[in-house]
Amino acid sequence: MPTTEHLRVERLTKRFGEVTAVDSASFDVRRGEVHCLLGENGAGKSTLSECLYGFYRPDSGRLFVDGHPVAFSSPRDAIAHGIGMVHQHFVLVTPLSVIENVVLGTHKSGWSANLTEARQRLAEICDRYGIQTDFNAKIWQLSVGEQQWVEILKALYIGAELLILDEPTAVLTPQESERLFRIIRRMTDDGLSVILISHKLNEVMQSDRVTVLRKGKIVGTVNTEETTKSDLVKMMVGRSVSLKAERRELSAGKPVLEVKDLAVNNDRGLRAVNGLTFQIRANEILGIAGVAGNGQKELFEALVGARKVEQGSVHLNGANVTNLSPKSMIDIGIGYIPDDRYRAGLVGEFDIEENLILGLQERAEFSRHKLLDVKRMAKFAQEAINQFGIVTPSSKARANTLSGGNAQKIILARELWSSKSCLLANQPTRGLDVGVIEYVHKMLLEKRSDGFAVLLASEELDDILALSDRIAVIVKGEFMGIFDAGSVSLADLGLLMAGQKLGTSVALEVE
Amino acid sequence: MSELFESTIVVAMLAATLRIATPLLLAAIGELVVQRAGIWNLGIEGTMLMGAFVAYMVAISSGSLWVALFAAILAGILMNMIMAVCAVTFKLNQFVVGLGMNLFAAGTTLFLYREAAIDAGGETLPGLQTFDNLDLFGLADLPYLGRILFSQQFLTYFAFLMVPLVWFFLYRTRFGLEIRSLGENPKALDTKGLSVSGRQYAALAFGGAMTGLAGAFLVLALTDRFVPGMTGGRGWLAFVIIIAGRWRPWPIMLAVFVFAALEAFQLQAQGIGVKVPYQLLLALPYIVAIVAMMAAKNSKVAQPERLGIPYNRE
Amino acid sequence: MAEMTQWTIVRKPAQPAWVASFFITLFAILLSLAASSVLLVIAGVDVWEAFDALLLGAFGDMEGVAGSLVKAIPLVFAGLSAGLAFRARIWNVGQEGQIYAGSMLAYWLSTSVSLPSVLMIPLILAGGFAGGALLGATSGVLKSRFRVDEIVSTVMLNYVIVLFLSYLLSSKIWMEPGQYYMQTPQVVEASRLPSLFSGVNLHMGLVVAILALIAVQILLSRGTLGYAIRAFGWNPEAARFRGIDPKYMFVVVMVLSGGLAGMAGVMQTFGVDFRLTTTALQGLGATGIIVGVIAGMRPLGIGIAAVLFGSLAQGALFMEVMAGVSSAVVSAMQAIVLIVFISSSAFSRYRLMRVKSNV
Repeated sequence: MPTTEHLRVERLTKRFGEVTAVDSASFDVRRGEVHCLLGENGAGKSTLSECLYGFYRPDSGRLFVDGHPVAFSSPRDAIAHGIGMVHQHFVLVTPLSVIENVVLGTHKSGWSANLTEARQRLAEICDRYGIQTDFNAKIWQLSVGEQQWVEILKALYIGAELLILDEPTAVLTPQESERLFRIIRRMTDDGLSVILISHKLNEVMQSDRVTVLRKGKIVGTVNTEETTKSDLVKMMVGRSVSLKAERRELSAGKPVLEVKDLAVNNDRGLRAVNGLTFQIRANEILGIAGVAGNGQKELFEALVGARKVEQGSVHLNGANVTNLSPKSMIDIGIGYIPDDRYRAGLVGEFDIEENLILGLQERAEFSRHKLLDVKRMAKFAQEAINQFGIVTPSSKARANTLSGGNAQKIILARELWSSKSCLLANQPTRGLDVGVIEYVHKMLLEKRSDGFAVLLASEELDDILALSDRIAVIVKGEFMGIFDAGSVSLADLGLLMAGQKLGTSVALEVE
Repeated sequence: MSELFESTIVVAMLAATLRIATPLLLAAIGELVVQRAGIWNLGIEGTMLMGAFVAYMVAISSGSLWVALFAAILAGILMNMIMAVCAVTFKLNQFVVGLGMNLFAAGTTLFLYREAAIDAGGETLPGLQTFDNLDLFGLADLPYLGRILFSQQFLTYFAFLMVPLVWFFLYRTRFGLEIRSLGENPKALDTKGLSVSGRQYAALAFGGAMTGLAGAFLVLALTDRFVPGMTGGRGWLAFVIIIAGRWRPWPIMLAVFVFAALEAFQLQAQGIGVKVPYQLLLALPYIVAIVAMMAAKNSKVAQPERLGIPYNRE
Repeated sequence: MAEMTQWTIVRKPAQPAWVASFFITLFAILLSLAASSVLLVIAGVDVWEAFDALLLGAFGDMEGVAGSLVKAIPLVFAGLSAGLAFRARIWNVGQEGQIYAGSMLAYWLSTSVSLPSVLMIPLILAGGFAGGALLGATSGVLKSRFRVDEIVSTVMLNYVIVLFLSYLLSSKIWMEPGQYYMQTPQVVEASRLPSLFSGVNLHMGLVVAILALIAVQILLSRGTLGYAIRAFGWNPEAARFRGIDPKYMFVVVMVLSGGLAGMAGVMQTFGVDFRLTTTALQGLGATGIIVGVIAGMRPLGIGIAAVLFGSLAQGALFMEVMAGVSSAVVSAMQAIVLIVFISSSAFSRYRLMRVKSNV
């Protein structure tokens, strides 16, 4: 096990206005180790690492690299000290090529965008760590997984000796993640140190040491070998959690949502969903497993009328609803929990009362003679706050002042109230704390018991496996198959998500 | 109508096209760099007007066209620096700021011009001795081509020279790479420790200088005096031209030609004997601008992703 | 260890809205006065004399106050036009053209039919609204059908509509025979907006303006359409997902915004000028935009700002006579006020802080 200190953090504090995101954090990273920062969403992992990278300026605290005190006022200083970072949300320039993204901002002198020399250096790096990528490909042509490699190459190209990876596997299939970890090991063998930010326990267990954060404070640092998953969860959440939701066996009823040969285009006009056929019955949850960006967004948008169906049909309770407007879809009772709640589900500047009737403002319950009935709105909001446990100073609080979990509860309250027989949920647990995730699971199961047909897409296989009656795996807009929940394992789903048919994978493993 | 007469008119029209193209091209190429850097500067019209006014006032008071030219460049830069402070540093709504800059320029130039005219004891101010046309390579006397290509203002040659230069800058230098990245994803620069606002200030300074020059050209070469509101939508046309040219230098030059040719045609129309109300001819560039935007509706794909969105770290 | 001191701009914690807006307004007014003084000094004018004349002209007597209000009336409509559109983040800058279009359609109606005043005035008011709405709708349809940027189309149509009026005049369609000036004949007596009080030059447009302010206020704060406008302005994507059709919004907002601008034209043409020229309505649109923006797009603020700018315009006329300062100073001062207001809204959000980076 590595022992030489590489980076040390002493009592680092970072505040945003009134909020203390990182509170007096101290820990150290040893040369050649994989050091994991573990914590729930909002625990301060990303903020802490942005401070280490010089992107945020800490309010107080000290940093040491190789035992020498350092002060970073910009990422430039961090880079100069051999620190590189791969951000959770990629910072790539999509119309530019891989090589252009890599050299961007690395020039020390000269005016020319000298790419020849850069190509050579990058080829060496790729060789050393076994990374393959087409240097001339434009970023937008790459899959999300491939873009991840470009981000890592960017960091390696600037000569990083300490690499910070912020949730690097969020967009990878299990197999891609494995490959990433093999490459991370090659790097540490090569003398590089890696800080890995994650909330996935399986990955965390592959690190050398783990530092756990909770609500901005460091709970402790442990050797991975000497700990267990459940110990880590306890440290992370402050209590023990059972991730198993209670799911009753129900017999499926009549078909509610029937989709035939559906084709939908993405924003660039290319096919994103290609020939999907499925049906969901009452009392049934169909889970769609898959890495984000494989057509889930387009599928859901088409089903709620916000994106044009190019081909095929959608029927709800026997009626053809293909290409109805979003308003009609709301009116006939389709509920929708969008993947990006602040983009598609809420108006940040609206208060809770206003957000709760978004799309329902013309209904007799909330308006008369084209004027809003503010008394009814206030009453409705109070009920929703009580029933869903929305934590807020008042029903007049603006949505963008609420936490992600509370914002999601506004959407849940509205959609569960207005939907009648069908609920569509795309990544409903994204970015939420364990407690809220449990709550979302409970709500989806409740609707299932009420006779709803539920379509659920999630990158978190935990969600899919815990809730679904049947599971479809989506790759590049097509289903790899639809399976009964009991008949596929986590490993199978991983392979399917990587685009491999189950039969062939078995053959490969035998080989 | 004699053949000679016809060819004279064609020559005059083509020569006028290049002349009229000059301010449009200067402003559009300058603003191209600004927009590529992610700033949606709607103040082109105002910056151009201010450039024209300053050039004129300095020219009549100093008597030197070169000093006037220099002053117009400075005025253009100054206008865009106000824009930069508001849009880049304070991250204000770029539409509102740009509009404010236009109204500011229109208001102050009108007032100061009137005051100067009152001081001079009249309604208007006198004309200038403008820049002479160059005789490039001594070819000005070449039949037809001489008048069109080799006997123009030096600023015209400068404007057309800027097209390949800006192309080279954007696509072949590292600074150009950085500017192009700014419009698409400024965070990509910020996370490498490069200053986003510094580069946006620089881009706005360049755009201001070019647009100031465009304004100067109006009074020092295209006409011989300042008239309040004289830019008459040229700044807005430059804005349309950038969209129609899909944010690329060569197609922008092409779009400039179309609009310049329209105006040149309008100037010659009476001579040719076109029997339509002159107002229709005057309205032509504005109508074509709308039609061009209808035709360019797919060009939004080429639009820099983060154009007009202030960059915030948090 | 390196210790650096540098200045940086940081976001301020949020303050109560009214405290912030009070100080912004106070600060902006003072700064605008200072900046305008600089302009007057540049022009070689005695600043005190000029401001003295300005105030006297605007508020000095009943006539001045009435004049200020009369000038404020079209600004209320133009300001509402800008405020309503900007609330929806629809950048209608075509108030100028829509004002002309409203006046032109109302003028055409007033010359086409012969009616008593009680019928004629509602007709020209409706006609003015329709004229502006028609031009606004053109831009709305261009945006929703052909994705033509509304900024571009409204600016271009501003030029086109004035050229069209110029054609109607120069081709003698709308000009009196034997006239030298490019202007229409005076509008018929029955179409002129009557005075509210005898002896004071204040027409009934004031009442219409106040009603319009109240109507727009109710629409925005209570109406389901206003709710949709606000949702669409703040988050068009969420609005679209929640059944608010952007294509419909573009057209409906442009119709309302254009219509309000058209009313501004009617107020000026049938309340003050009584005839149309290509220059008579110039600048109303720009001032309306400034009024809408500095009022934060809120109707009450628009009313106040319109009166303020109306007084400025009224005072400037007096100033031109008394102090010999061109009344063009008004357009410069208005633009300064706009820039100062929008940048001081930033001062309320940021403050300068000295940072010791001693990490």
